[in-house]
Formats: sequence, structure tokens, C-alpha cells
Amino acid sequence: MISELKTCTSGGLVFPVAMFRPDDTLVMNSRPRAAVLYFPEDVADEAAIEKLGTFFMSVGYQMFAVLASIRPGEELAVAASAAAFIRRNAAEFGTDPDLIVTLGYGKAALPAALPALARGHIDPAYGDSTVAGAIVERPLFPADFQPGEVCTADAAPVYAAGEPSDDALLSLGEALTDNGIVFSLHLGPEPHDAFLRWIYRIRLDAGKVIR
Amino acid sequence: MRTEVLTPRADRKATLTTYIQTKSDTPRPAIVVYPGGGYSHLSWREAEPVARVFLAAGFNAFIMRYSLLEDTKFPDGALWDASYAVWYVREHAAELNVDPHRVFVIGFSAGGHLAGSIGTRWADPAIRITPDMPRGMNRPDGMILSYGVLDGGKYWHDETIGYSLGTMTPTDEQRADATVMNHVDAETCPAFIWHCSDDGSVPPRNSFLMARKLDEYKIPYELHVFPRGGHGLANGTEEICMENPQLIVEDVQDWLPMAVDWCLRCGQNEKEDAAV
Repeated sequence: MISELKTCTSGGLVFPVAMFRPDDTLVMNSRPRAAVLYFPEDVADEAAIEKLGTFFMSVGYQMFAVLASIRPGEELAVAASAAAFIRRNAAEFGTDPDLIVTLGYGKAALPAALPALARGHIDPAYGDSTVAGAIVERPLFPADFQPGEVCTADAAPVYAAGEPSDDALLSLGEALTDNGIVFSLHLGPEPHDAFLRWIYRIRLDAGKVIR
Repeated sequence: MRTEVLTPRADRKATLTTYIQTKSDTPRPAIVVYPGGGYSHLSWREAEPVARVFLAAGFNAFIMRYSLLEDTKFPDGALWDASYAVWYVREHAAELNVDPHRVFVIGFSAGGHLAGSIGTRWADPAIRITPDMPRGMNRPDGMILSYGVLDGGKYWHDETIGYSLGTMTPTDEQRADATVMNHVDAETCPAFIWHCSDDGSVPPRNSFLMARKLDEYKIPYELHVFPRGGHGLANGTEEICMENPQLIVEDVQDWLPMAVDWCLRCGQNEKEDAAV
């Protein structure tokens, strides 16, 4: 198991990223792994970040936690920068660049959602920041954020979950359905292990699952 | 298990099939199933296979094979049949060993339109089963709307809406009347709504519109959209989708245990409220 602090430099931004990944030298026939790009709500809560990192490693995934305090308006830039950083270093990290999935809860749902939803709005200066999907839970989007305004037909698949009557989730779901995007949405209790199975489904659809 | 087929009206083909399990210590919850089929036929995979899952969870089950085609026309056609099924279960709750406060309905596609319609229009005098029927005897305690046709407007399904109105060229006013959301009010029952994001027959927007309307009236609901599964997959299991293997989608199979669990929680909440 490898837990390291990396410095992300991309598109003029510089910020720390905590990397958690299984040690592939200790695994037979290892192959590039799916990675979760996580945006913590509280970047100072090291224990919570580590707990999530160990969880994803326990199921064979890598996790990269962005430790930058993201200012309003910089969400897409930081998220795109982080995704591009992982893609650029995928060979060194043992990451499958086609299987990077973003994850964010609460206020951090916005940087997690944007690289998937707003592909057409990303500055090419960051490099290739394509992600395979996004997971957003109990999103606290800014009042002026309208998913329908940024979501385009080339958006990546999204998994979204929260409480019933969550207007932000309803708007997100409507934007996705209007653009014909494959998505999974749960307003109410989530199916057991649903978001893990969601990642598995993305891998399956990408032909990256070896049975 | 005791199974019986009832014919509510001698001049109609509609039937209610009852599946009554051995008497238990406490009355069982009940599920009334309305299969789909665009009001032109009834899907077998949305009938008994669904009832069996609820039976296994301890429910008594009832399948309403409602009036079709020209006989569908609301309110005295399929909507009356839907009303009859809920009324029958509650009216005979004691002999059926059913808890009259836990009578749920589930419908698929056009059956979802019917389930949503009885969940919202139960107070319509035209579907009173007997002249002296107490108010609310035909009100479900919860409705499960499975890839339901709920909108008669922009996202409508012409066959379903057409048969429910008795015309395939309805006016805007008629389509508005066939729109389930337009009948939601403070007395609408709670809902469990689910759809697949890739449904090409009945757009998922139908479920979103319903959720927003329920929200407006503070009616409790859950909404679950599964990534794949298309339309008409019912349980989505191998047993019932052998002829259409593309409908076998493991992810979406979650909906049924989730719906069963929702019914059980729904009834529990009402009991707790009553205790308070």
C-alpha cells in the first residue's frame, strides 16, 4: 500500500494531492487500476480522507484526494487540473487513464460534477482532463448553479444520491436526462454498495473488466 | 396459499386474482399489481413474477387485470377496476388477513399510469364502488410507479394516454386531464418512483415531473433512476427476461427489494404517527 503526498501542477495551478494506491509490486499480474479523484469537503480532516482512501484500496482502486481549499469559481479549474495531473502521470501511478471517476459530497459535489458535466467548458491549457464518470452525494450546489446550463450531450455518466425532495439532484437528473446521458440517481436510501457497482459498470462498459 | 379469480363486473373482462397466504399472527400488508401494456394488452412479466416477490416478503398479493382497449376509458373503465381492487382488499381485510392500513399498489408503464391515477384520483365520485362506500376505502397507502406513463403533455405516450381518454386524437385539455401530476393534491398517497435513464419508450422526465409535483404538496416520495434497463424489464431477472436478454441488468434488480422495504417502512411510519 502506498500513501504519498504529491504536488499537482497543471495549467498554472499548484496544490497538494494525497495519493492512496495498492502496491502493484506485491500483486501478481497487476494491471492499471481505476482511480477515484476525491474532493474532500474538509481538506483538514486527514483521518476521514485516509479512511476513504483505505476503503477504495480495499476494493482494488486508487484514490487521489485534492487537498486544495477551492475558492468559488475555481471548481472547474482545480478539478480539471487534478484530472489532467493524474492522466499525465498515469503510467507512473499505475492508473488506467480511462477509468478516473470523480467523487464529492456536499459543497465538494460541484468540483466533482463539473469535469463530467462541463467537458466543453474546460480550458485545453490543462491538458487532457477527461474523466469516466462522477459520483456526487448530497450536493450543496451554489444557488446560481444550474446543471442544465453546463451539461452537454458529451457529458460523462453520473451517479447522484441524496435525500428525497433534493431540488439540486432533481435539476441534475433533469439535465442529464435531457442530454441523453446514462446516469444513476437515488433520492432516498441507496441500494447496497451502489456507487461501487456504478464504478464497476463504467469499467464493464469500457471493456476493462477481465472475467 | 389460496388463489381465486374474481370478476368484478359481469359485462367486462377485467379480473382480480387473489393470492392469500396461510393465516399469520398479524395481518399482512397487501400489494395490488397493475401490469403494463399500453392499455392494449397486459404484460405477463409485470404480473405474477412481481406478485411472487411480494408474497415471499410476507405480503398477500392481488393482480388486477383491468379493462383494455376501448374499455379502458377513464373513469368507468380501467380506473374503476383499479379502484375496485383497492376497495375489495380493504373491504375484506379481515377475511383476507390483510392490514387495511398497509394496502399498496404497484404499476408498470401504463399500469404505472393506472397506479398513479388511483393514488391521486381515488376521491373521484365516479369510481366509488358502492353508493355508501366510506371515503378513502379505495385510497392506496402507497403507490409504486415503475417507468410509469405519468405525463399527458410533452413527454406523453400516445397509446396509453389515448386509450385512457377514449380517443387517439385528444385535445390539450383532455391530455392535461390524463396527466397524473395534475391530480396530485394534499391527499395523494406517498410514492416510490423508479425509471431507467435509457428508457426510450417512456422518457424518465415523466418520473421527474411527478417527483416535483409531489414535492410541491409535501407528499413523501423516493425517486430512483437506474442507469440501464430500458423499458418493460419488470424484475429484470433471468427468469422473466430469457426472450429479451438485454433486459437482464443486475444493477436495476435492486428496485424490487428497495420497493418492498419502502412499503414496510411506509407502513411503519404510519403506525408510529398513529401511536403519537
